[in-house]
Amino acid sequence: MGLALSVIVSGIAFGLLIGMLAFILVFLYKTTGVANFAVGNIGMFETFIVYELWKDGMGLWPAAGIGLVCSAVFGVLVYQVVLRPFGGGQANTLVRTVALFLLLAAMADVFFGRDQPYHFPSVLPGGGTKVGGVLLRWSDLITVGIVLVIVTGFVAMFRYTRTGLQFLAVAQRPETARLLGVRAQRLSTIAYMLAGCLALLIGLLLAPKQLLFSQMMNPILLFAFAAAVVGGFTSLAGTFVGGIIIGVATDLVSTYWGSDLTLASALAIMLLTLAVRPNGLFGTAQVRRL
Amino acid sequence: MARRHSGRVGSRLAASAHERSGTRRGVLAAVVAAAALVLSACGGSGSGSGSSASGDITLGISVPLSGAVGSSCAPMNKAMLAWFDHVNAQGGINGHKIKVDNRDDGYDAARAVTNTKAFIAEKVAAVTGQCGSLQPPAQLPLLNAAKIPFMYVFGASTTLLKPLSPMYFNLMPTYGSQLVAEIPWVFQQHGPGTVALMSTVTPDSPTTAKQVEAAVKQAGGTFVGDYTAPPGTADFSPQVLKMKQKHPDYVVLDQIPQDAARLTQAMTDNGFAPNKFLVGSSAVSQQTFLAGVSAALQPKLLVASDTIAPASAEGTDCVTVLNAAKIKVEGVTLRGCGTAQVVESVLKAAKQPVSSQSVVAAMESMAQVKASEIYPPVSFSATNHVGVSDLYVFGVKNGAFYQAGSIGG
Repeated sequence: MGLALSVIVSGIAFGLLIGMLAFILVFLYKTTGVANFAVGNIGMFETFIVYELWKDGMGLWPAAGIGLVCSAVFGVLVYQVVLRPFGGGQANTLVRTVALFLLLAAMADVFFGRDQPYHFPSVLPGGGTKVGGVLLRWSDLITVGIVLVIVTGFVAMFRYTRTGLQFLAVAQRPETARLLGVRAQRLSTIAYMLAGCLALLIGLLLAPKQLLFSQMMNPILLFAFAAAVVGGFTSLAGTFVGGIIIGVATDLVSTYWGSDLTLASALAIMLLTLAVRPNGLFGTAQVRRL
Repeated sequence: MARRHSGRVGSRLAASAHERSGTRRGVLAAVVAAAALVLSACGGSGSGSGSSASGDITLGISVPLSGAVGSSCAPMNKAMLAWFDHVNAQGGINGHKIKVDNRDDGYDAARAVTNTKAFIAEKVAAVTGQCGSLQPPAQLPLLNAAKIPFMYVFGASTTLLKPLSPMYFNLMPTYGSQLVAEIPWVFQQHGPGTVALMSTVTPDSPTTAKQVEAAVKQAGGTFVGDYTAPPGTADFSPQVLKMKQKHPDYVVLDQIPQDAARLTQAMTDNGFAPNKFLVGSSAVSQQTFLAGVSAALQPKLLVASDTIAPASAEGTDCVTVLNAAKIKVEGVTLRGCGTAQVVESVLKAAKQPVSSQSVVAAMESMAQVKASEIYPPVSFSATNHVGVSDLYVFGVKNGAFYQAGSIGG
């Protein structure tokens, strides 16, 4: 029983990180209409920038602060230069995100990759406390707090602010929103700026556990996609529930049935969800009037 | 009558003569071409001739300079080339320069095959300097057929050694062999105990697991479990939590370096360490692995290696050459330089002019030859194609590997 509880707690912690990446996927999908496969590698690349600043002697928190500013700028650049829809439709934009995914990995190898992987210091305290024989790490508890703040903030933005409502309008009815004066490209730029910052946050939380290297985000990206499907591609809060489900399930499968089945179990959960609830656990059906 | 037809006959005769002369030219061209083919084939004994017309000794190197393991293998390659340049600057091998055809295969078997075909066409004396376990199984059949020796791959695989392949020669024992040799040594030094094995799933891992279990039992220990994970596993917490329940004295690592580093990170996150030591093979004897291990776990590392620790290499010719070439002195570059030293020793011992046959013959008659400052003495024979049997054991002090002992010798 003690093992199972420990695995569940570990799975929740892992699931929250998966959920955060899924959150960005869904956020960009809701606001720009495109699922961006490159978000993981955007975070990886930004984390390398922080690492280089820290390695050159800057304190970790100042490096992270500068990294956050750079990430906002980087997110804007990614949208304006690579992804801004010049035409070609959603399929064209989706392919561009895949190309960006590959390009960022290659650039990381070229600029930073000589001695990878690198040990990356944790921004969160180590250690933890035991509750009922189960170790609760301080880093995991703080991650829960971070997630709550992010979710609350974004849900409030979408519900109660003009910018948030405009985000939703552009995502659901881009042409109508433009006709009503909503500046879609400005909103998409803001979305990518926020996404860039969130991607760096994930990188800073993940790199101490995974080590920093150019493929750091790849295993998480697949799980994040599954989490987004399970939670619902239209529900921001649902991504974290989906992440926790995927995290706990894969860790339990790895513990009791073998680690070979980890990815298969995540994909099986995704397929089961699509079969039973095609819009995910918390997603809503998108209705189009013909 | 003959006169009446003389024009047509004449032209037919002329045409016939023209045809015969054209036919003769064609036959002559074919004979010349055939002769050229025969003469070029006679340049070697049907396989790598090894020495060019200028007397240079040609070697082929196909190695990942890019791709997934490029960052680990490229420095090794640079170090090898630096040593060969040093040898050439000293006059070469018995007056003959070493010429290297150095190609990137990007850790891709298909590209390695393309490179190997080019080496065969060039009739190199030997192919060496490969790094990785994906490419050699694709290269070896071609080199066996061409009778060109494949020397000293970094990344040993059991499948290439059993059954014995006539052209495949390795310096490094397989990771399983290293662990099997290391376990009794560790038990002797620190007492027998309970052992858990953590493996990256590879084609060799089931064999290694059986070998390690048998070695543990034979040395008086207790094998408490084999835990596996596919390469690139994101979360090692399940495996760590299961191991933690067993409270093992030793955890043996049969993993790729990145996974091993992530495992140790998960061990630290979950507050777990073996009671005595973490035991690894040369797969984790690199500084890049050590940099990912927490300071709390580093003193518990014992790692076998077929090369000396960087700290022990000061004052060697390899360090001098690497420094002169502005190459960082670390485990992987010392391995590259040391491997090049062994190649040099073999080429010097080979009958002149150097050919693939003379290289193979030279290797198979090596017995306890100290061919390199970096490796222990090397022995090959017609029935043994793994050169190193003695191993060094590294511990960790102040964030760097040092030589804690040796096995064999």
